[in-house]
Amino acid sequence: MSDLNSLENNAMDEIQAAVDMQALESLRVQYLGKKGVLTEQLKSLGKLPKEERPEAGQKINQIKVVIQEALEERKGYLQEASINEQLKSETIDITLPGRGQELGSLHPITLTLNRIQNYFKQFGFVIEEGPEVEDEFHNFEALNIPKHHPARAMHDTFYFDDKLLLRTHTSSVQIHVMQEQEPPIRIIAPGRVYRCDSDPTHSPMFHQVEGLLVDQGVSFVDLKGIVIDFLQSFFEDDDLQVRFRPSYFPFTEPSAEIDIGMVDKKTNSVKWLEVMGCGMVHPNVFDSVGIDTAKYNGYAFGMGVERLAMLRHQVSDLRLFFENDLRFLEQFT
Amino acid sequence: MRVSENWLREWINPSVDTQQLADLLTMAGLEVDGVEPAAGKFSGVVVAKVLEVEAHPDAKKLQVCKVDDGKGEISNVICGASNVRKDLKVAFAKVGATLPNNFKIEAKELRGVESFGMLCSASELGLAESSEGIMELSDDLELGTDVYNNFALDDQIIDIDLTPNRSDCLSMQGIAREVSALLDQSLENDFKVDSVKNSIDSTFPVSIHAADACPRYVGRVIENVSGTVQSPLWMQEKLRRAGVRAINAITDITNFVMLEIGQPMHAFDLDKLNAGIEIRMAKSSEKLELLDGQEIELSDDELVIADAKQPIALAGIMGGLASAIQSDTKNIFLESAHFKPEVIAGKARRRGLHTDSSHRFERGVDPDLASKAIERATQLILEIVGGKAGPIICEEPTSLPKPSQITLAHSKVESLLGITTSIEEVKMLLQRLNCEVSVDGENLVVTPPNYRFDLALDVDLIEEVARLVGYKNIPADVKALAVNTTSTSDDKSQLNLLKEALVLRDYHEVITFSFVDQEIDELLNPQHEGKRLANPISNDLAVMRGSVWSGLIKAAQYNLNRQQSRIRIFEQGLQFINTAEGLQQNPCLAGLIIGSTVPEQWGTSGREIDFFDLKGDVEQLLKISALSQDQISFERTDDASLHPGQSANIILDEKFVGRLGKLHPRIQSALGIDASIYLFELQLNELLSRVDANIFQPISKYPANRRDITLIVENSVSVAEIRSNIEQMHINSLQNIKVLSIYKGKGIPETKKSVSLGLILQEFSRTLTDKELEQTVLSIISQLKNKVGAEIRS
Repeated sequence: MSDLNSLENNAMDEIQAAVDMQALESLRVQYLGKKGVLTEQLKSLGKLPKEERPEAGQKINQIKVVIQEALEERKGYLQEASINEQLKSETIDITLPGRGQELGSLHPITLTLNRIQNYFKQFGFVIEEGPEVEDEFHNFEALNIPKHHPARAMHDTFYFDDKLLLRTHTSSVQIHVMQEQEPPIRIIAPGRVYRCDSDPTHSPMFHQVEGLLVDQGVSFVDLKGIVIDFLQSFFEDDDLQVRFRPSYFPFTEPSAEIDIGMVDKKTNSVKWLEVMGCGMVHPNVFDSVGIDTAKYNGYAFGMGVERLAMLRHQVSDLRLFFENDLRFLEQFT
Repeated sequence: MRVSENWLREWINPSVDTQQLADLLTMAGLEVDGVEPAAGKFSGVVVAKVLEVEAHPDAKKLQVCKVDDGKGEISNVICGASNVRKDLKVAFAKVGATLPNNFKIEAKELRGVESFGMLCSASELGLAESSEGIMELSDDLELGTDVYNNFALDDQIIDIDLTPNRSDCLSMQGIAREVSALLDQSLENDFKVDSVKNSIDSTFPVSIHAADACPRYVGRVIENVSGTVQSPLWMQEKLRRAGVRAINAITDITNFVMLEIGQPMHAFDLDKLNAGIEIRMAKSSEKLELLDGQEIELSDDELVIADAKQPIALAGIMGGLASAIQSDTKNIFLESAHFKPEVIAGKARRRGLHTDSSHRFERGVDPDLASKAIERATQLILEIVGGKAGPIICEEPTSLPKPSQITLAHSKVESLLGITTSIEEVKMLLQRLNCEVSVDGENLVVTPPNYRFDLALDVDLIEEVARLVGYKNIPADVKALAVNTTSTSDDKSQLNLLKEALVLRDYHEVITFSFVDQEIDELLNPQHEGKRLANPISNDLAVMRGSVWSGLIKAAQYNLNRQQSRIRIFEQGLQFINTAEGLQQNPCLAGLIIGSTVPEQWGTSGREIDFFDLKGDVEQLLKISALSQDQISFERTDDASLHPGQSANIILDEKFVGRLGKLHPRIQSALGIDASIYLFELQLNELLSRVDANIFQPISKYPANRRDITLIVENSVSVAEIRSNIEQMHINSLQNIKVLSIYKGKGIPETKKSVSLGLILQEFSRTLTDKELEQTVLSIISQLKNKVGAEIRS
């Protein structure tokens, strides 16, 4: 019996001392294998007196279980230790930057255009584009701006010859669309426009978005409604102050300019900033494209995209938009 | 239009302050750009009289004056002005006075003589930009009175940015009328001018030969005037505050009347005129020297005032130099005419001119003003300059334009504005604007006043109603706009996908000008002549770009010059191509890359980009456009702007849809750029019109097999050629051909290359046997042996 006890003690000591899986495996073979110590002990039970056999057999089996458990336990411990060792050796500096391609960027004008378009798309306004090299008819005459109209002087037009010019506004797209489509019409026309003017606050090329809605029974109330809602949505400010001022555009009557109120937090005073123009489509415009003014009317609005982009992204200098300095562009990823 | 508030208040004096007045005008459509004081603040300057003038003992240019300040004190004042003289009334800044910009007057010694104060010039008091000598005050100013108060300098200038339709507001009278209508308050005086009886009988013949252009011409001879008289300071001040320079009394008076009631006038030196006045169209190649000194050659669509010999003025725009009022002018001929807007419009601009007169005539001047203005001017001339006036000469060959009667349906006011009003209210509002209004059932019959050229249609009247009601009192409602889900083309969202794909591949979007330098355009597009602007801003922005590349290259240069070595940019926009059939404006998406494949980073070394990096990006864009590789082919191009060995046209169903490649080294060096530039340009019309829903292809349940082969072919054999020869065999089980490697060099003859291909073979109905696979590969090898002379590398 005492043999068995010391056998157990030895086995336990050796298992605890095993430093790796291999040592553990050889201990398993040594004690529990087909020719292992305990197997031999069981085989030799027959040599014991009959009455001692059951007790001894029980004891051997107990020791077998104990050793098995100890082996499992030690195995679990060694596995855990080896994983911990692996983890430790594989630990990296996770603060190092990630690898691969950088992220590019969309131009802030595009971001602004997308924002404008997304608003109007939800009301079924369709995006239309027109030519940038335009004729006098679409850019001026059909918009109720006859030759020598003083409004032409305000447009500083780039010309190619007597008839051909660079469009001075996206309002020309209205004419193309109304020539081709029957009312009801809901469009917005984003795009580049050109004026022969270049200084720190004027670029010879800039962007506008024109909007046009033609339908039955459209009123100034509807125009005010959509413009105010758009501006409050664009600037994410439901309390944004918007005011309509009478103004003059040859292609709308009544016409209005639209200011938004920028509140100076220090003085609590409101500074008004012009951001859009709009009005009810002038009957002469409908006449020029053959839309029946007895049946239809509509509204049009236009906005300068650079102005809106400057306000939204707090860009102070218009020229930055067209210098295309990567250090500027990268800020819009 | 600069409006002196004090002057305006002489016409109408509402109980609102300056800011309220400015807001009122702005919210009525007369946008106020700014309000500024009429003069810098000064104090302690009084009307004084020069009693004695003596030369300074020790300074040639200085004089020592004794000045009476009217309070019984005589001061010694040193003055350097040449016009200082005994008995002159002057603006005297006493010791302790403060001039504009907080300039304090103190007693001081000048070369041994003490000076107590300063005699002021107009510019020193902030009343002129510059001035010669000291101010000479009118003799009737009371000694000792305060100059600031005397000149009513406590005044604000309201600067109004008038829209071109409101020519009626280009005068004090006009602005006053507007304020009157807005506040429903009557004018202080309604400006009745008494006619001036003639004291002499002198006239001058006037004949109108262009009645359509000039339906009314009013003139008058005034004799015995003096060309040297200066206008009184009160008038000069009013002119100054309106931004008009004082010249001589006669000219100042005509300008004053224009500012006051809106009628541009002109005064001729009568003694310089020959025989009579003719109003006629110019004969081409006639010449005229204008007041500003430029000599112009006239054309036959320009209206002129002429005498029997030659043109003497460009009608309604500018007078001629030869007949201008001079200091020796004795007798004058005053002109007050009505020229039609369409005759004057554009003519001044064509000459690079813009005058107060042309500004008004091209927008429209009330034809009734001509007679009124000449009476008012005569009155002022006789008062200020003296002289004797002849009778009014009035030529009126045809009837004058009359405002049309407009029928306005009350229902339209309500439906267009979306408000409810009564017909009576509309009538009252329009009457406030001096319209004649009668009610006819549900309609209003409206005759606008003569001076409202902008009121011609019912909608014009509706705008007036809206203005007077106040835009802010019209409600806003977005609910009426039901969501409308008309199906829209996917073009735009497709384009956004392309752009976003580029962004994810580290491209930055740029926006460059559509007009470029002709030189760069010619380099890039030698096959087309660029579309040239007639009036470019500058030479480097003169030609419409034949390719978006010109802008991209310029943007790249800009950044290369700023220490950027890796540049990836793209732009979406039009290219402009001049063809025999006309100008094509094609939407393009173009990109440019320079530098390393990846940004500098740890652990990965990038390499210089090459054609295939560019092509990879382009292929992805084509995939987003739902174009598979078998629809698209890349073909060598003779594009002059690209490296002939590293460039391709992209062909879709035999149509050109884009191009890509390395910028031609010759162009690169012509532009002085060191880095290799790779470019692509896609035609969006072609790509975006092809957007279809992707159609699902079934996936085989049976395993795919891969067999790799390596061929040796001549250098000239392209991968596309190899691929198409395999495809011609129509092997059902062949799912894909991957290019694994291309090798030239050791072990391969110099004129040849090795190409390794991975063949992916798979059936839909069964698993392929080894034998079948082997047979397929052998048949492919034999096809390539026969067609492209390929050898198999063991």
